[in-house]
Amino acid sequence: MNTKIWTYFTVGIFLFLGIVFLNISFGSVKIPFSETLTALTGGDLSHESWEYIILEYRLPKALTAILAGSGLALSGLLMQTLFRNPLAGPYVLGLSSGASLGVAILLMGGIWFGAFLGDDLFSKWALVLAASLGSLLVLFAVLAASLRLRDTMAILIIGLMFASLTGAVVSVLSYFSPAANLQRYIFWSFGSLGNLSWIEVGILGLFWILGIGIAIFCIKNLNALLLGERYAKSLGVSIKANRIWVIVATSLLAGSITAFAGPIAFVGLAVPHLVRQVIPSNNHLILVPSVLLAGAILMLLCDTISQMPGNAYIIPINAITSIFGAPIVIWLLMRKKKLIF
Amino acid sequence: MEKPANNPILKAENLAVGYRGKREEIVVSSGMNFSIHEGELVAVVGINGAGKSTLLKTLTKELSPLEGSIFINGVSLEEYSNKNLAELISVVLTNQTISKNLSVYELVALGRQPYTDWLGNLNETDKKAILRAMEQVELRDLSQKKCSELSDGQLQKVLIARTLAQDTPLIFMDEPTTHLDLYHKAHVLQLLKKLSQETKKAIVFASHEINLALRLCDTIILLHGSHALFGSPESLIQNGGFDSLFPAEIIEFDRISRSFQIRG
Repeated sequence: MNTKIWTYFTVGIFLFLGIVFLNISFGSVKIPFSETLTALTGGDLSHESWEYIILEYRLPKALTAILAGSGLALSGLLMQTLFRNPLAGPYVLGLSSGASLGVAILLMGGIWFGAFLGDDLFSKWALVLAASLGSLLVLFAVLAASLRLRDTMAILIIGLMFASLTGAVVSVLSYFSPAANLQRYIFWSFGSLGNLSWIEVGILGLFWILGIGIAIFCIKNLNALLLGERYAKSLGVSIKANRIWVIVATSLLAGSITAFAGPIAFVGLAVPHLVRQVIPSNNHLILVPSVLLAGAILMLLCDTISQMPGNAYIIPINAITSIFGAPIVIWLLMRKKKLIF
Repeated sequence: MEKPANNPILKAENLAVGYRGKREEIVVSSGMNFSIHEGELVAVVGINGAGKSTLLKTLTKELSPLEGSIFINGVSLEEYSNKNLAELISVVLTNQTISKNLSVYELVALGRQPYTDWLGNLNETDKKAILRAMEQVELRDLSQKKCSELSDGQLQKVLIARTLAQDTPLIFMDEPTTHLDLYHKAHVLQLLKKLSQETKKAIVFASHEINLALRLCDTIILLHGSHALFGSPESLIQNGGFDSLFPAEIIEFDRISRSFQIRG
């Protein structure tokens, strides 16, 4: 059984490297494969602009895709195990709704703050800050609730209620805001992997490492939770402490990704299910790296599709993940005829 | 190396169990005094709502006692951390959301968690303990099967094997025989009897199977009304502890056959 898992990992890693290369090779400007390879290995290119495109645009975008895909997929796995619920995902904590609220207030509510807020306000950093503040607000509310509640399921409902609440506020803002601002907000909500500079990728990477690190320390407890909370407690797991660490890890991952790349749906919910259909183990020591790898591959794939050569437009990443991801999940479930969870 | 027989693993003194509400305490059962020794098979019996689960939850530190105290190896239960207790007490519960995607081996292996490193890696000692546990419940052939493929009786045995892998001197089981047919009920209880004798672990289980418990158990904790009786099946029968357990016009206790009979 172990050899089977190693085979999957090897195949996965080659697939990953292949798709990274493809992802960097494709784009609205046509650059030959050989030149891409030269650029990646540090050589000089025949066109200086190509080098700039690859190193300053495509490489950070590919890295963002890797960080976002793997981070969201792991968040989904963490939530599904913590709540012992196959429908859970990063969204159940209401983080992306919190981020949406922050951005909505900035973009559409800005009009009420008066004229002293100039155009600079709508810079990327303002968006990131607004999204982070929104996520943090919801996170603190959920954390406060989870400290007081004994029942983990109740947190799930509370997270969804916060999502509903923030959604309502966003609706009210949208209703009263001028078309141009509304359009800005809608564009943000499509999600985008391509707007990050190297500094921003670095910050995202820092949050990613923190989130993954905490998650790795939770692996043993997560395995115990597969038996339910009472069994986990009898095995020496501190339920509340573990709950808080898992929520913090998920928030660091999903919160930072939403702040930088917008609310990317679907990946967090779907990737853990895809992995469970393939990997014959429920041990998080195996599931965590598998989900990270699969999330990165799926996100790179979707990003590659969204910028296929011959495409004048870049299709929003959020649409691609669902258009191509949903049929795959449906197909896998139909094939196995039952949900493995 | 013989331990004096009067040195109990678990001792309860003047114990009252129940729930603490916001305003009042709901006492389910009180004034309990009993002690449990190694190798004993103990049944907690009583009618629905008599407090069997409440008692087990209190003994495993899920609930705190309303009154009195519990000692394990002479030390008060309150002084143990969850981590320490995991090496002293293992449990079989009912109605838990166990992932059915776990293989039998994976599930039994989770019993080793109190002893494994921070990532949960299994060393040779752990692997041996897991294999031994699966052998003790005769499940080795099924080790790679998924739990979703097992029958209820098999799953129950897997959960019992998990407690054996956890290797604790005390095992608590909440109704280990519900959902099982008569044959499997008897089979599981006989297995518990055998395990308690072979492994010298004390096994305490709550059950509705009074007839079977009377035949197989060393000790019975009988919860009746707001008080509890404790002793060997013989002594409880002598005391007449079972005579008034159920309304006599429907079910009566026959001392000669040591079993309950339905009047008809």
